[in-house]
Amino acid sequence: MDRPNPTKAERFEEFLRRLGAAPAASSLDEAYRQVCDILNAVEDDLTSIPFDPPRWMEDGRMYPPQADRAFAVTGRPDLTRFRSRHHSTFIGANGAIEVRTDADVVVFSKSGADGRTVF
Amino acid sequence: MKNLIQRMQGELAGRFPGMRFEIDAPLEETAEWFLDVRNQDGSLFLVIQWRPEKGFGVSTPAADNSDYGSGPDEVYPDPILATDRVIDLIESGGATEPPIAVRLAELRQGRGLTQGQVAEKAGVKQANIARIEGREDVKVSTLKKVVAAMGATLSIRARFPDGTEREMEF
Repeated sequence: MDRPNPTKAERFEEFLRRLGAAPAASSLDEAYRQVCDILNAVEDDLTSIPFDPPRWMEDGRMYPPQADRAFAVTGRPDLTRFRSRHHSTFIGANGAIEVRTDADVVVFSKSGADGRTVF
Repeated sequence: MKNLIQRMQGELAGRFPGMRFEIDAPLEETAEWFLDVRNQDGSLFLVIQWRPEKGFGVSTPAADNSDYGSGPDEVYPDPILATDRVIDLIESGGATEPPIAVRLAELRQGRGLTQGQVAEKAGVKQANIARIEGREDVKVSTLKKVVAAMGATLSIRARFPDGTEREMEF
């Protein structure tokens, strides 16, 4: 018998736990790939919702930040911000990752391979 | 020349001077734009998303980080409909509603039920429940059956602009 899907808030917590436990990335591309791969793995492991990007608006699955949702960060050419509804995921050229809410509350921060954080 | 969401920003700012309307522009002009609508104290009231050729999304924030990686709650292909909805939300202080398929799945999850358990009670296969949860539109009779299998009753109300509501029966 299938088991109940944990709530999105619980899956988001698991995503942050796994992201924190993963090895530090050393570049924007590597960190971006890590965010995408870990979020997809969490959704595959903890839900029965299939990966189906065309249905992202109605299937209840969390999807990784899209590359075309990249925003500049004023005064920080080394940073890229990926925006979603109420969160921004900042990724540095050094592979550091930080997730903030719309109220600028840091919910996750991880250094890049050089030991430096995003801010 | 201003694009559609910049024009919406101007219209809403003129109508609601007590609120803040902040554009978040993407690196690529053809990518997704955001318009954050904030209360006077800076707290976020709602977010409008716009992608050229795709239309507008409108969402009020979830309190528990449960909207990370989620699409907008409501989608409007037309800027007039989207603006009307935003005006309605600001004036009423209301909240957006996620699509029905999400609500059904989350309703089930919130009761700690699996698709298999709901299917068994509804007398259908688990794959049927998965399909129903994935549909954009569901027959009222089907919805009634699925909700009943969760142990609840379905209630549908018609809400009029003057505030009156009528329970509808099917």
